[in-house]
Amino acid sequence: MAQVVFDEVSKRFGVVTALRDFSLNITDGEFVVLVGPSGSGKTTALRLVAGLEALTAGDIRVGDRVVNRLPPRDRDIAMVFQDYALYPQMSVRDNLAFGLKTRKMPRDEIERRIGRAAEMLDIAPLLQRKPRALSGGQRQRVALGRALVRHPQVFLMDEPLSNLDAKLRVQTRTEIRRLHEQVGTTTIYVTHDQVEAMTMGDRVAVMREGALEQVGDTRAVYEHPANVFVAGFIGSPSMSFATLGVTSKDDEMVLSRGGVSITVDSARGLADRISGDVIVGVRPEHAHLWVDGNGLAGPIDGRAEYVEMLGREMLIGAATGPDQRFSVLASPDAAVKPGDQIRFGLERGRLYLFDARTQQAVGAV
Amino acid sequence: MNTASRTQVAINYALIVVCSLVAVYPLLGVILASLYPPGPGSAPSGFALPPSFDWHNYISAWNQGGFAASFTTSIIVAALMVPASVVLSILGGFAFATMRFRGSRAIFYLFILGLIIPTEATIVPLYYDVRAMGLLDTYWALILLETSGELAFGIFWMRAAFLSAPRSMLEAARIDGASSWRTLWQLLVPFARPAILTLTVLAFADSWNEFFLALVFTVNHMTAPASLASFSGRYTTNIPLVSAGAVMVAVPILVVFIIFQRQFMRGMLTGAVKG
Repeated sequence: MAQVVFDEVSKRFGVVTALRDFSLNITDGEFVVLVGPSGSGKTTALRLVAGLEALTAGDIRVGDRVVNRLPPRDRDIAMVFQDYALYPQMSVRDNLAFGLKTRKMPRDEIERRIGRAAEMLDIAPLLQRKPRALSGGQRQRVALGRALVRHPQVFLMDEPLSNLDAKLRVQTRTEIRRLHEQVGTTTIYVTHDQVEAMTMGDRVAVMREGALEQVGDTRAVYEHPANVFVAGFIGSPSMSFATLGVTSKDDEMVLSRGGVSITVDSARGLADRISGDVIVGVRPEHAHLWVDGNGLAGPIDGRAEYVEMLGREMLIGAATGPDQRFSVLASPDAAVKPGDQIRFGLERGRLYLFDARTQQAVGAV
Repeated sequence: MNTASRTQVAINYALIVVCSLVAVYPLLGVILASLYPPGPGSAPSGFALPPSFDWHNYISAWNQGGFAASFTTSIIVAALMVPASVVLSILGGFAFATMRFRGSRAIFYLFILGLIIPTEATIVPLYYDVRAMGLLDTYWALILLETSGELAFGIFWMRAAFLSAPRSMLEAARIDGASSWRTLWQLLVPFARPAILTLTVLAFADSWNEFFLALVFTVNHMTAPASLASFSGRYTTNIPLVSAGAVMVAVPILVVFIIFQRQFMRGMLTGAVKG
């Protein structure tokens, strides 16, 4: 096991910059998820650690070694690929043994490791089969097994669940976490699925366009997003945003535009830090239908544009003005239809404010 | 199945039948002609059945055409040329498919040139080279020239086959610590087995059918098709004997193709995926 350090790492493919001054410290035994939309550079970062791409600038350290120029086989890492990348002509056993044989490991040690991995992943009955005779989920487990038998210092996982159906994905998610807790190997996991990121990682690194937007434990990233992008990307259903004007009077701050007017008490200090407009972000679970107004900021009137039944809850998309929409979570028995006028309020203390120009967080009210 | 696709199937079958007839017609003609009574007066024509089936034509043709010697030459040349050209094509195709090196594209196009330039265009300088090496009228002249001739296609073919292998499989092998050599022989060659078998059959056919090189470079080491030519020169009016010789020369290719038919077609199709 080992720590992995990205130190000002950049990667260019011709004129395209895939990764820009990327720095991240992953401690020994940690499970870190790199998450972002496609083209955010997360897979590039992973491939740089693997040695499948050469970096353009900066350093990558695994343990105490700078590995920039080491070939993949000398980096002591193992990788699980999105399409599993099993060797199609070999049996499951030979797939697992391949990386050990190339390292000239004694036969009995190879057998011992395969036996242990097969037991952990419940693939012992499949050892004689060829990959084409396995289901997607079984192939996935074999791919994990191939990484596991190597006892590497670092596991790299490149969207390993994206070819599985929804149910199997949830199961395997748990299984990968369980495996990590059992073996405790440092793991870097890449996904574009923020739910996967939130449920699996000790820490989440949110990336966009080759740069790191925010890194932190899942709760911190969810509750204190650093900017509009992270706030909108993390969380499902996603956060609603409205650009509002700011006026302050005495100790009060008023955020308003169109049909929205929110008065915030004791926010003098915050108002001073804001120049011009502010983007207000509200998560759906912090917007409620207006009953008697207790504790909520508002009321805000809007028209229900869509109503989605989620089972336990109902999601209402409410238009409050031109280009101004809020998602409101309501109980499933609320009598709201598309086209209805609704009145709702926002939880105080849960309104995220972002500078309209820089898009960076300025605080929460 | 709806009516439109049924019509389509019918058209497909009609086309296949017409194409098969076009392919089979001359073959059948040659087989029938080979069974006519021998001699200058015998005049086989088209699909007319011979007055009597004269199987002796085959024995006469075998003896008079010296096929024992020329078949031996063809077998020796094919036995060395086919493995050599397949192995070298695998190595070359692997390099062009997986390795980045300076000038790789230019060198690859140079090999492709070999596909375009006909042997006839280079035969004269080639003759002087072979003579300078002292290889005139030897097996080696045929083996070396045929092998190098096969490489243009072989490398092109194997490169395409290796390029169709999933990139992640090769990357997994790199992480697993496999050397290029191990990656090639343990992963890519088994993966490209159908393409390799197809190349083997094609190389064998090319080697077996070699006519022009044998005619130019050998006197006492004629290949089977070349000896068929000299044979037909002497008995130019004896069509039944020439036909019997032609049928015998064609048999080995037919046998090889029948044995490897299924793999041959699979290789053709997988190779067609990526160029």
